[in-house]
Amino acid sequence: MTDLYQSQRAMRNLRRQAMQRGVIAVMDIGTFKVACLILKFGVSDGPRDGSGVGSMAGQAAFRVIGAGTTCSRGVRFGEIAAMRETERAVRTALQNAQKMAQTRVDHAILTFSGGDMRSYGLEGMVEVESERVSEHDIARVLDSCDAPDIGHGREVLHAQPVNFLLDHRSGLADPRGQAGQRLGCDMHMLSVDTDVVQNLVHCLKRCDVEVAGLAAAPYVAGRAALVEDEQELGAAAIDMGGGTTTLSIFIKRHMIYADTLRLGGDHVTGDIAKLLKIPYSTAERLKTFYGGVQATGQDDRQQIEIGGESGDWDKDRRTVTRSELIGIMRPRVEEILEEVRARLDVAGFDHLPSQQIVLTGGSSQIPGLDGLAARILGQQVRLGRPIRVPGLPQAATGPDYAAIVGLCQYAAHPQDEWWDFDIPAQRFAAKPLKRAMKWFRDNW
Amino acid sequence: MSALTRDPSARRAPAAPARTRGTWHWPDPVEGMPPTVSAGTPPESELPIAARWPVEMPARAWPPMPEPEVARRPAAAQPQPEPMLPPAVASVAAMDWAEIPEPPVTPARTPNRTRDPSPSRLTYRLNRLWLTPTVRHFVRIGLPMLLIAGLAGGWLAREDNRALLTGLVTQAQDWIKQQPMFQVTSIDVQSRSPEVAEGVARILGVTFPVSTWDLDLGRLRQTAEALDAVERAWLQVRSGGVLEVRIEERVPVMIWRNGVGLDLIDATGHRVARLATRAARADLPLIAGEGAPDEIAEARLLWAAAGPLHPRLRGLVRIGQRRWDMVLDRGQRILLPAEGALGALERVVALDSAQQLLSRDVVAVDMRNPARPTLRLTGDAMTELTRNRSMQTGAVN
Repeated sequence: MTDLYQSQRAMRNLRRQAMQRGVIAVMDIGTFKVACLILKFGVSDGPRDGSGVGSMAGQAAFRVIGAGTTCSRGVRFGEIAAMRETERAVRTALQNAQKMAQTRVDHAILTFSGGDMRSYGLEGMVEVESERVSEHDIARVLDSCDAPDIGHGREVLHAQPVNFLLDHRSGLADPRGQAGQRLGCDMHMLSVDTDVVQNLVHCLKRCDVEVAGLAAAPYVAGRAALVEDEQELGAAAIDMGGGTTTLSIFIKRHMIYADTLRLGGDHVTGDIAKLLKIPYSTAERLKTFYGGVQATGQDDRQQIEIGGESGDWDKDRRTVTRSELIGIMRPRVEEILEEVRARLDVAGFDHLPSQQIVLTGGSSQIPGLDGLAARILGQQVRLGRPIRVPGLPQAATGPDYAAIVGLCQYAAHPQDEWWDFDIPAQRFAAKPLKRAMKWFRDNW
Repeated sequence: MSALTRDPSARRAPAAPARTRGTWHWPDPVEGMPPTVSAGTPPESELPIAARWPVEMPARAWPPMPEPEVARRPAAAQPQPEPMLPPAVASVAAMDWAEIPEPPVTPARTPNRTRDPSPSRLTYRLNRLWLTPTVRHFVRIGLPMLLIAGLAGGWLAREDNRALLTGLVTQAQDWIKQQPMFQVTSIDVQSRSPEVAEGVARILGVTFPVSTWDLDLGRLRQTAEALDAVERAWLQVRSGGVLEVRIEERVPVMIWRNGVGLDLIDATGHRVARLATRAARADLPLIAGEGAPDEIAEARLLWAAAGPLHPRLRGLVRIGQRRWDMVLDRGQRILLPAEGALGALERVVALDSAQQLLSRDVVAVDMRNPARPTLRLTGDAMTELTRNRSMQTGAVN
C-alpha cells in the first residue's frame, strides 16, 4: 500500500508541475472513441458577465485550447486489447489536439472505465491527540481505516474521505480545528485491476507522455453530468458508453459508490449487425441515424435501405423498417438498464434521500431512451449533458464527452484523496530503520 | 463484386415520382407511403469485417455525415472496363492468330485501403519536436539568420567581392550625391563690409559645384568664425543651390597699439583687424601697453569719463598690466591708481575744469595714491615756483 501511496503522490507532484508549467492534457480512452483535450491554466478570468455561465461552471482556473478526437482502436470494454492499435489512436488524438493548441504536452491525466472497478466503504476511528483536531489527526484516521482484501493484482484508484465523525457528530466535511476526543472517518475506496492500469500507462508512455493522474470514468462523468444540488442531495450518474456502462452515486459532493457494466452501445450495434447480417459499420450507421427504443406507427412504414457493396445485388437492395430496427435495439437497451437497476439496488440506492438518476454518455443519445429509462429506473430520470467549460469546442459538448469534461474539472479542482495527507510518522519511520537493519545484516 | 453484373441504371430506381426533398408531407394523399430512405453507402472497406469497424468507420468524415450530405456525395465513379469483344474476323480460318490482340490485362484489384489516419511514430515525434517552442523559434528565426549570416560571410570572405561591394556602394553614393537637387553651385556671403565677405568666402575654400552631402556646415561655420573679424556666422543651403553665409562682424571700438603695429579691438577685447595707420580710424580711442585689451571695459569707462579732455587726449597706456596712464598732448600724463581709477580721473577732470590744472605747466598728475595726489611740474615751472617761494619767505638760497 505504501508503493501505491508513493506512486500516487508522484503522480500528484507531476500534475502540480504540469499545472505550474501551464499546460496539461486530459485523455479519455474509451471503447468507442479516444478524446484528448489540452488545458491551459492561469489564462481565464472566469466567465464574462452575461455569458450565461453560472458559478459552478465558472472553471476560472483553465481554458481548453486544444481538442482531438478519434475513433478508438484496439480497446474492448474500456481495456486495451491491442496495444499497438490503441497507441495509434492515442497518437492521433494527441497530435490533433496538439496541432490545435499549437503546443506540445508532456503530461496527461487519464480516465478509463475498464478494469472491473469495485468500490468499498471503509471506516476508521482514532483518539484525537491534542484537544483540537489537526491535520496530523486526519492523516492518522485515514491511515487507521482497515484496508479490505481487494484481491491479488488489484490497486486502489481512488480513496476519498467522504465523511468525518467527531464524538457523536457525523456529517462533518472538514473537522480540522474542532474540539473533540474521538475522530472517525468514512472513506470510499475504488479498486481496479493493476494490469489494466499498467497497460494504459504503458500505452501513454509509448506516446512520450507521462501520466500525471488517473481517474475513474464513473467518477469524472458524475462530476460533469450532475448539477450541484444533485451532487449535494444524492444522485446516480449513469454513463452509457460504447463498451461499458458505468454508474456512480454521489451524495454530499462525494462519490460513495461506483460500478461498471461490461455492456454498452457496441452490443446494440452488434445485435443489429448480427440480426440484419450487415457489416458492423453499416449497423453503426443505421443505429446512429434511425435507431430508437420507442416504435410508433409511422416507424412501420419507414423503409430504410440497408445498402452495401457486397456484390450481391439482392442483398444490397434489402430494406428494413424502422420499427424492426427498434425491435432489435430495444431488448438490448432494456437489458443494460435492468442491469444498471440491479447494480443500483445492490448499492442501496433506494435508501438515498434523493433518487435522481442522470443518464449521460454516447449511448444516452438514443431517441426515446429517457422514456424507457423512466420505466425501468424510476421516475426521476433525466438526460444529462456535461457542464460548460471555457474554450470547449461545440463538437465536444455532447453527453458523450461527459467523462472528459469531468476530467477537466478533476484536473483543476481535485478532491482530497488519502494520499494528499502526509503519512503518519510512526509508519514512515519504520522503513529507514528496516533499511538500516538490512544493511547491517548484509554487510556484517 | 463484379462490375459487369451491375446495371448502373437499375441502381437508383426512384421509389416515388421525383419530388424535391423538402416538400414531402405525410400522409401523402397521392402515395400513402413515405419514400424509401437510403442508409447511405457504407465505406469502401477491404479490411475483413472481423477487424472491427472502428478502424474504418469514418471513411469520409467523423462524425458520420448527416443524411443530406451522404445523398449529395457523388456516387462512387468506378471506371467500367470495356467489355471484351471478340476480334472482328470473317471466319476462323481466315483469322491470323498472330493478329489477335492480347486481351487487356486488367490489373488485379489492389485493395483500396483507406489510409490509416493515425500518424506514424516518427511523424508523431517530429510533430512534437516541431511544437517545442525552442526548436520552433530556432527553426523559424535562428536558422534563417544563421543561413543569411553564413552566406553573406562566405561571400564577403573573398577580397574581390568586398572590393566589388564597396565599389557598388561608392557608386551608388556618388550617384545620389550628384543629383541636381543636392548640387550647390555658388556662395553668397552677406556681410557689412565687402572685405570681410571676400575673406570669409576665401577662407571657407569651397570649390563649386559641390554636393550638399559633402558640405559640413558645422565645420564651415567654425572656419568662418575663426576669422577675427567675424563674431558669428550663419550658414544655410538655400534653394537654387546657393550656400548662403550671413556674417555678423565684430565692431571695433578701440585701437590697440602693440609692439608690432595697430590692431582694432572690439568691445570684448577681441582683435578685429590690423590697422595700417592711426589716422585711418582717428575716431577711435587708442590704447597701448601689454594686456590692455583685457581691460577694455575699464578703458572705455575711463575714456567716457574724460569727456572734457577729449580734444587733448592721446590715449591710454596700461602700465605693468596693473593700472592705467592717461596720456594727453604736450606729454602730460595722468597716472591713475589700480583700484578706483575712475574716481581718481573724475577728481582730476573736476580739478581741471575748476582750476585749469592741466592747462598749466604740469608734466604729470600722479593719482596713484588717492590720499596724496601729486603734481610733477616742468623744470621751468619748478624754478619759477622756487623763486616765488623764496621771494615770499625772503630766503636767498
